[in-house]
Amino acid sequence: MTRGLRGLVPIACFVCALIGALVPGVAQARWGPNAKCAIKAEPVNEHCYTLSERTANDLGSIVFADTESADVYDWASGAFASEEQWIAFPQKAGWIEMGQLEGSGIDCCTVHPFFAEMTQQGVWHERIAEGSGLNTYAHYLIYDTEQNGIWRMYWGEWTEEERYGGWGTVRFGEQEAGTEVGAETRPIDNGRDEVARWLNGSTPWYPWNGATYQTVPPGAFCRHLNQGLPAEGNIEWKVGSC
Amino acid sequence: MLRMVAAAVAVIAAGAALSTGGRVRAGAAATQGERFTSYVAPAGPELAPAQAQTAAVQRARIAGQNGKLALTTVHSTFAQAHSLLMGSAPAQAEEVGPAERAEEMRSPVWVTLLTAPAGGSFSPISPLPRGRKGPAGSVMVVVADAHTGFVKEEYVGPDAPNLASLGPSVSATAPAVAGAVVAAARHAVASVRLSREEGYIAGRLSPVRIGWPVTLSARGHHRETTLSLPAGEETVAGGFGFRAMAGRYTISAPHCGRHSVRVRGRHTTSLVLHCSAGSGVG
Repeated sequence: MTRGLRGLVPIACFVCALIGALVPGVAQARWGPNAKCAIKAEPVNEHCYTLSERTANDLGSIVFADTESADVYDWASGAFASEEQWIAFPQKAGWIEMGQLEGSGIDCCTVHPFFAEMTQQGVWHERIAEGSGLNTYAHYLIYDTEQNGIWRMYWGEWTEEERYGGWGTVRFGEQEAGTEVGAETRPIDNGRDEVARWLNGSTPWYPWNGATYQTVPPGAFCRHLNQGLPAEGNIEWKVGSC
Repeated sequence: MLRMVAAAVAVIAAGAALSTGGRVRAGAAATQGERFTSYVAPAGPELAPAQAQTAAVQRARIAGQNGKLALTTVHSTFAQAHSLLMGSAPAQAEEVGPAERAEEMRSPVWVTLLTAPAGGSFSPISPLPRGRKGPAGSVMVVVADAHTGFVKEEYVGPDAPNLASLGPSVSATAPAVAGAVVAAARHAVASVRLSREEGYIAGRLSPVRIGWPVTLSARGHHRETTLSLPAGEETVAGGFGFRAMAGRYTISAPHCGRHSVRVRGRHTTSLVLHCSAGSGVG
């Protein structure tokens, strides 16, 4: 390479970088504060969240999830946004989750109910409804009605869709609800939810207590208490800082 | 049935709990005929096994496995496939429940088992709790609707479920792909989808001119020139078009003057350039 051409290389690199920075339509490879939000979750979870959570000792978890608008631009690469609940058990690996998602290789914006489990043995399965979900609060319910370690998954008013067993007769110890994004490109994800817990068969559903709130990383979402029903644990959110 | 009633009661009770903010939630329980999603069991011809395998391989690539894959595909009902993936025998499959669930459970699916190369694994992109590590395993199973190809269920784990218990299988292999190829394809899709501010200018020349140069400029700077088109299935005679980001532009063509045009994101702006009759490109 001639000396003159070598001198042009850094200029060309600068110009390319400038174009990349200024021209809309060029994919970003991560998003969020300090570009900390991304699609991968293994070996390090780089998904971003805003949620309410509590330490629990309960047998039932419910979330009414309302996706007000969602658009996952890099959906074709598996990126997603979800509005959902998670439960996990004390001293046990794995979890159960249920709610609704957009993206995930399906399309940009359609809401699909889903649920998934990671067993203690490291087996993961996820089921996504082929039909689209509601454009209003949708009901997702996980509970062990018979206190026999079989967690029943309901959506809608009373459709039992799944039973996850193998957890033993145990109450869940962690309860979370909110939104999660696994994407390389900042999506639209505006929504809100309402949550409740269930102690056992002789009690009604209770509002949450002892809730704390997290946005990971801070600034990835703007989150408030759900203004429509500002009870403990109920939140509303949008992507981006407030 | 009793369980369903119990669940309905529970949901109503949950609605009561959630109404503490002054709004009544969750009215009466749904009937057996009501549906939660838009699902209606598809009808008509089914996909060939190779098409189901293509869908499965696509999911494997999304799961970060670009190596050579061994594929085994079996036809089944969704209920039997799901039962197998949940660790039960297909004979224990349940096709019961409200109409929506029963229809879906009885619907036909293609079940494809994918095996990673030695030492390889599948890491699907999926929701998971904060702070947890995502799933990974050497075996992946993809369950796709036999009519639509919609992927209804995925499984990743260390061991392969016994697909032979579902019926006869069709085997194949998928060659390895370069990671850069997959990444480029994802980037291309993402780039298009990112362009929320991109709009389209659709115009034509009057009277009709074919092969006429039409130029798009912005703030006095030349951006792009295209030639007007003959009539085709998707074009009008003398038509032209530009993709452009939202903003103001100038469109010009010889003997057709200059026209200002405003582009809005995700919108098409139409215009007609009126040209001098009988003129030619100078």
